[in-house]
Order: sequence, then C-alpha cells, then structure tokens
Amino acid sequence: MKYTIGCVLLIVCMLHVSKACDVCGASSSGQGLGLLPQMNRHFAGIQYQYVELHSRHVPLSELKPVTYSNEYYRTAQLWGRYCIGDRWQLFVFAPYRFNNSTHLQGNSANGVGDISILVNYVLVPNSDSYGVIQHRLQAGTGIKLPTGKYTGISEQDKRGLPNMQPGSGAFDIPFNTNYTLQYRSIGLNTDVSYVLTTAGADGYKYGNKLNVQLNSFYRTKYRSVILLPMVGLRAEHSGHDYDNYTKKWQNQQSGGYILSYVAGMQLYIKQIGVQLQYSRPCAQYYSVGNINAVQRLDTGLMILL
Amino acid sequence: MKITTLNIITTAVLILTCIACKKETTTPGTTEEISITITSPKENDSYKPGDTVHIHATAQAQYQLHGYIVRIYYGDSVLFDAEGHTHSNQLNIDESWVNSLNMAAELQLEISTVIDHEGNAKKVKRPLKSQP
Repeated sequence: MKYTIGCVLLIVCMLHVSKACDVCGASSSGQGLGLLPQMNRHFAGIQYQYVELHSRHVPLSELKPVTYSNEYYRTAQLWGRYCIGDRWQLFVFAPYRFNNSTHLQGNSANGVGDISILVNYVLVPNSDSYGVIQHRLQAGTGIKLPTGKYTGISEQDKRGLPNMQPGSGAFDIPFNTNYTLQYRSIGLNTDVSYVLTTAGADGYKYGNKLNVQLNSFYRTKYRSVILLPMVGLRAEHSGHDYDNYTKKWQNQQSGGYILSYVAGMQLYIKQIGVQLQYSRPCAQYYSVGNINAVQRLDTGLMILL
Repeated sequence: MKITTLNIITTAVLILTCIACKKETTTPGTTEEISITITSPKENDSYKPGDTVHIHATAQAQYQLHGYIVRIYYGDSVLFDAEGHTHSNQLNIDESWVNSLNMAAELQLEISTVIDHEGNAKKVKRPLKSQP
C-alpha cells in the first residue's frame, strides 16, 4: 500500500515542473518549484517556456503618437534535483533565453541566462501523513548568479518591460515554500516563491518578485500511461525597479501584478514525464497599465534518475 | 506534525510575509530644483534655409529626471519635436534640426525636462531667427 501511494505521489507530483516566476518570466525572475517528485530521487529535465506580451509605448511628447508592440520571451532551461539524504534537496537551473520585441523595427537578445541554485529542506515528508490524506511541505532558499549576458539598463527597462536581456547583472536571493495535499486521486499544490533582488554594478535593481500558484489535479491511469489533468490559478506580483538603488530612484513605470488561469496536462510513462501547461491572464495591471500579458505556454520533459 | 516543525513553518511564513510587504520608497523632487543649461544655439542666432540648428544642453537635478522634449516653434506651429527617455539626474541633450523655412521668421526653441509621465516638467525657451 505504501509503495502504491508513494508511486502515485511520485507521478502526481511531477505534475508541475519549475516555472520562471515573475511577471512574464524574464531574466530577473525566480524559480517556483510547483509539484515535484516526492521521493528521494534525483532527476534531470529540460523545459521550454513561451511568454507573449503586448505593450503600449506612451511618448513623453503629447504630440507624438502612441505606438504598440509585441514582446516574446522564450526560455529553454536545463534543470535537475540532487537529493542529499531524506530531507535535503539541491536544485540547479540553467536557462538559455531568446527574447525579442517588435518595437522600433524589432530587437532581440539571446544567450545563456542567470544560473540559479536552490536548497530545500523537507519539513513535512509524506511519512508524516495520516490515513488516506497525504501531505508534504518543503521550503528553501538559494542564490541566482549573474552568469547571463547583461549590458546595463536598456530602453525596455525604462519603459517598464520585464528584463529582455539574457541576464540581470545581479545576484538575487530566492525563497520558496511548497505544499502538496492529496486525497486518493485528487490533490492540491500551493507553491509560493519570492525573489529578493539586489542591485547590479550599474546600480539598477529589478523589483522583488512574489509568485503564488495554486493547482488542483486529478490522476487517471491507462495501462502504463498516467495522465494528470490540472487547473489552477497563478498570482504574480513584481515590485518597482530602481534606476539607482543607492539613491532610491524608483522606476515608476515598472512593476505590477498578473492573475492567470492555468490549465495543463501531464503524461507519464515509467520514468519519463512530459508536461504541457497553458495560461492566460484574467486580471492584470503591469507597468502602469502599459504592458499586458497575452498568454504563456510551459512545456517540459523530465527523467528520473 | 511536531510543534518544532510548526514553529519553523510559522517563522518562515512570517519572514516571507514581512519581506513581501516591505514598502519601497522613492525620492520626490520639484521642477524648481532642475538646472537647465543651453550651450547651443545662442540667443537670437540666425539660420538660413537648409542650415542645421545644433541643440546642445544639459539638465541637472538632485533627483532622478525622466527625460526631455525639444521643440522649435514658429508661432503655434511645431516645426521640430524630439524627445529622449533617459532616467538620470543629468541629461545630456544633443539634437539637431534643419531649417525648413524659406522666409524671415521668429522661432522659439523650447527645452522641457520631464520628471514624470504626468506632464510635470521644467521648460526653458530661447528665441531664434530664420532668414530667407
């Protein structure tokens, strides 16, 4: 029985692989963990994220016309988990970013992004559960290293767009908590992540990011194939950036929130898991209303080692 | 769940909440505190058709400026309208305009230093002349 429950949790909790947090998944974002394999096993995977924004450019001069553009943030990311004993887990994220905008005849930025390392401690393992209700809680912190290319404050930064450069040019401190509750084939997962940003060498500081995601899921099995449909909500909040953090020069054009519906499906065959998730915002106010998230797609492939 | 575990969770949530709700501040400023220096053109400089008006100026403040707008007026008509979206306490303004008029006219150069997107700005003006 324990083995069966463990297997179910193992599969179910692969449901929701890591998400780049922050409004839109830019390079200053953090790493939410979502639902994870809950057994003490290492894994490695690759993810691809696509985020589309629509932005409005209001000129300083009232004589000039307002213009519009689309921004596309694409991230391919290698990630993995290494378990140290029963309670400690080490996560590593290595993204590669492809961002581009249609503004001003188009511009793009590609390259290796900022590598993140997270250490989590399992506060409540499954073995703490009683009866048919299973629950698990883990929390941790880490560091995001400025390994990605960053050339200083950009025109996009000034306009409040999430950072389009591959790197953020600064160290950030991510925090996360992750709680999963399951009753038989249905369950809930709550993932809260917060990124405490620091200023880069040029004094620019991206806003702190808070990401909260609540997912409900259901497990169904056909032979050796396990399907996991899910629906949920994701709330993302970004504080204002600072043009010069030492002098507390706040970029009023930046920051805001996005609340999104989330729907997805997971497919698992033995040790291989495939993720597909789509989200659209249902409420948002970002960059004083000049930037709107349009849609987001997350896909992933994971192999348990 | 053990009491110690609960304590750890409660503490972690409280810390996260405190960090998440921290109020971020900004430094306000007024337009009176802005200093604008126009080094070119000089007052009442004259320009013939096709001549280039080189506009060089700096704007400084003790707080963050948002950008600038440079315009050249002929009466109420705007002959030239340029802007720079630069977040800094010092703006270096470098623009140019080719005189498109073919007549004698009194022109007005206006440089606005913008401090926000609500239209708050400090303006300085300089008379110019167009010659046939």
